[in-house]
Amino acid sequence: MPLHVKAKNFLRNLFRFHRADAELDHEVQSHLALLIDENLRAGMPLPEAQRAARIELGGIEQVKEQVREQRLGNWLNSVLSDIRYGLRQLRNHPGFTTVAILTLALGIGANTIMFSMVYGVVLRPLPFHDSGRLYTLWERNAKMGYEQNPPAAGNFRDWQDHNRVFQGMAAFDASQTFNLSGGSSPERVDGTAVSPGLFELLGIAPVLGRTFSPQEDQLGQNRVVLLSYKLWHRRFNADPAILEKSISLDGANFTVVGVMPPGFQFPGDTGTVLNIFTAPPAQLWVPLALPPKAWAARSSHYLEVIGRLKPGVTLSQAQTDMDSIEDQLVKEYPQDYIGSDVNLVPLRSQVVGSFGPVLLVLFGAVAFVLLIACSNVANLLLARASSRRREVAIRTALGGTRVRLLRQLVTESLTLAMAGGLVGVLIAARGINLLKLTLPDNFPRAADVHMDGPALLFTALTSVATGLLFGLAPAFQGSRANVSESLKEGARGTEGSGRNRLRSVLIISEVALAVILLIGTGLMLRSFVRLQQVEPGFRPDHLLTMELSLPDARYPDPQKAAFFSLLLERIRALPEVLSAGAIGHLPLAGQIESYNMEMEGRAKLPNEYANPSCHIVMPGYFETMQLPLLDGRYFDPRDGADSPHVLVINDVVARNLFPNESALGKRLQLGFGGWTGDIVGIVRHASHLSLDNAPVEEVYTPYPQAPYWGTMTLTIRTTSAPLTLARPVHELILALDKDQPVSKIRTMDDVIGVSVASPRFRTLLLGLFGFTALLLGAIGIYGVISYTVSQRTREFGLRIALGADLAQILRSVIADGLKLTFLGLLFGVAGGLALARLLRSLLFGISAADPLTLAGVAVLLTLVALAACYIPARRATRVDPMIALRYE
Amino acid sequence: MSPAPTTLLQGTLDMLILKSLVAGEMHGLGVSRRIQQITRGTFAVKPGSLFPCLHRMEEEGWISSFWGDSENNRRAKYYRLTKAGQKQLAAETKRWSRISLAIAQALQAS
Repeated sequence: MPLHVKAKNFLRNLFRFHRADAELDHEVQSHLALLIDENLRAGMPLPEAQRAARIELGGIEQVKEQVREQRLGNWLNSVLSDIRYGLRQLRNHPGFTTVAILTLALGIGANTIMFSMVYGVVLRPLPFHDSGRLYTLWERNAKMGYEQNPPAAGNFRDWQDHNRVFQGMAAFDASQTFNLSGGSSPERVDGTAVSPGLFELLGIAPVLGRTFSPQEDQLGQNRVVLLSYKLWHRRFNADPAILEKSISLDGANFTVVGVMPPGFQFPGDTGTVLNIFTAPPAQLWVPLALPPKAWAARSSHYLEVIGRLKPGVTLSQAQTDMDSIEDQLVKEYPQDYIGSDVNLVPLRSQVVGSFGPVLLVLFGAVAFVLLIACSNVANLLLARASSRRREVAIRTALGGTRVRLLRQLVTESLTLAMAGGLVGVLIAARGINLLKLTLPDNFPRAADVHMDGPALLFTALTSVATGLLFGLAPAFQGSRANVSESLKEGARGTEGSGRNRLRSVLIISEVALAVILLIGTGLMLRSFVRLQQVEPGFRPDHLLTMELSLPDARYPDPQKAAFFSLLLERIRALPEVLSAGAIGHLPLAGQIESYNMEMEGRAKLPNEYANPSCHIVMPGYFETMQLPLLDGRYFDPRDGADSPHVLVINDVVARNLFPNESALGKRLQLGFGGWTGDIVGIVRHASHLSLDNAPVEEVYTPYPQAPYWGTMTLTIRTTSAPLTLARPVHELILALDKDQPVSKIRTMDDVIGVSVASPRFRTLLLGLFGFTALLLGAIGIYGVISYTVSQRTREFGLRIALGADLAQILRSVIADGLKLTFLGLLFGVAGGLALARLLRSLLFGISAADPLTLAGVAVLLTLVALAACYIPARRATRVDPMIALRYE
Repeated sequence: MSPAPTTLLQGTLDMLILKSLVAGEMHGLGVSRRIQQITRGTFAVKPGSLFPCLHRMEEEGWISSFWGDSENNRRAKYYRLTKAGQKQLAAETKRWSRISLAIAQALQAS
């Protein structure tokens, strides 16, 4: 057929539907008249002629409907009219519509939020060139139980020189901070030292100037710096003439050679720091420029390494190549602390880090919430389908085919789902901002989490899938109509057993899903409570902490200790201060340093087993933290730079190294430059890395005897609210040195709070989803039971009229509801036990099959179901027999 | 009436309608009766099949329609063959001959 004819007909059918339809009606009517004429001519009497004509025609409306179905573009027209009809239906049942749309909106909205997070954090490509080929490289040692240890500098150089699989490899040290002075007030900025070629490897070029040359990685030529776009704007007013100017870092002059593009962060928010640590985004970059001594060290691990695989090289080829290099290193340096093999981690996984499983668990949880919402709405639709049986019967009688009816019912569900999706998007847009407030500080790529195209597409698809999911089964049930039965005068909506069974299955699965979710929530909650109960090993209340970095240029090593001694002495003199001390890395603030250890007079310890965390503290630290002394003494002012070196160990070291003798008086040598000292005290172990870590070996050295750390954190025990002391202490510092910045002024309670931010986050969210599931489950049970009660009004009326026991009716209705609940509970517990194993890595102090959690969930759900059944059951006992029997 | 009307093969109805309209323009009932006549009562086309078919063929452009007066002065919708319809009928006839020949041969094969 010519296209223009087709188009003309299509448009006529679409826009002149009513005229075309009127014409069709005329045609069929005239056909009937002609038939009657014919019959009359054949000699039939008029009534007989009319009857025969009608029988031959077979129903005017059916014929018309069959013609309409044939028309071009018919589908569009009927879909539009289905939508119009659906909207009218929804408007006419505001109660049903509101509950259904809100339920769906909650489910779809929560899914949109979680999808935005998963997309922003996991799926969206990293902002580097061809980021799929970027890997971080770590030393791994299964025997010692570590997966990601940064390689020693010497090992990195061997990897770099000997591998045949990487196009490029670079190292960086993100732990650096600098006092940036000159111009306005001095400030502390985070920086990263990088080996040459790092920016080229990432595929990012500076917007201004150049990156570092290989020559600038040599000591003496390394006083050059690259600025972040933000720092350039904030501190230097985006001065285009900044190149080749010099800025003062830690009192030394560095020449600015370039400015990186806006939004570029490395490592910082990309999380490429030991997976549990997160460095703040670097504001400037300097050459790594390690001294020859560092390159020779094989036991000092602090460099992080990133590499770009050559095109066409597979991960397993790379693994084999790197492992053979590492094997060689282990053979060559048997006494050094070297991993047994190399761990290659895709940069994307590194960035997502420990949040990957958390996000998946949460995404799974919201999917469950949506499924529960679906079965709730399906149940509502089923209930409505039975009250629409007569409507369906009439439509069937008037020539509506099953397919046509099915399509109309599904269109209605889709309309409902779309409305739910729309409201869901509004909820999500609001919710996503609230959610961002609860994100822990170390959450990766938080800035990339927002509602955008992919999220909206996801919502649209989810809405359609949801509409089909909850609409199909009720539509199949609903479109099955027995015309003559349903149209009989006074026929009441008695239920087919199929429909009842479907409803029970929906409720059982809904309860089961809610139980699974609640078990997950319960386990998380119990773990979190356990975590909160962990004794950190010191008293965290009434402690003020603040960080202070003394630049080398201004304070040569001996003067640093003198500065802190003087400062602490003055702080202790303040009213409301009980005691004061300082430590290199504050406990639970996210950093530790460990070094190898040897015992004087004994055979060399195998390095794998002597790698304690080393802390450098000012005298007064132990007293301030109230770390219990088990034997010997704490440090005191006698332990100065010129007195014999001393150290304090914790009970774990004492137990491991001196199981049958006193440790006091023994001598240990530590990895930093052969530093050796006498053990003078033993203290109890304390949590340093995180609350949920097992106790580890710890060694403390006095700062005056080992002043290698520029950065120290003051710890001050107060009698009043700690933060009220912040100002007086800050003034004392400025009085000593007016150019000295202070950062991270926090109470120890806050530090601990931040350290559990990530378990708190996942517990909070899962709790929210679990609560929603419980609520929806309760609504579902309530809806079904109260529907059944209303269906059985006449029966109850009759029973009451015949003198039935009210308590018995109450019991039987509740028993019906509880039967479904218990079945759901059974399936839910089975499913929960299976799925809880996936949570194992997120649990702390309890097993995945924690009996208390299971019992708690069962009791909670039974109580909620009981309440949901009780209300309709009461209604059943209050049926007035007279009204019930007269009903309909 | 002849033996029980046979079910029509898919697509055959189109051909029969086109064929019946070769005799001249006629309304729906006329087409129905004409088919009955030329097939000697083997096919009786019900309005439920006839009208959808007529409307579809009109949309295809094989037939056109107009309103006119019937023999006993009733308004009725008449259909007539178009050029495209004649071409279609020729094509259908050719195809049908081929099929029926093939089937006849198949059934006679031993």
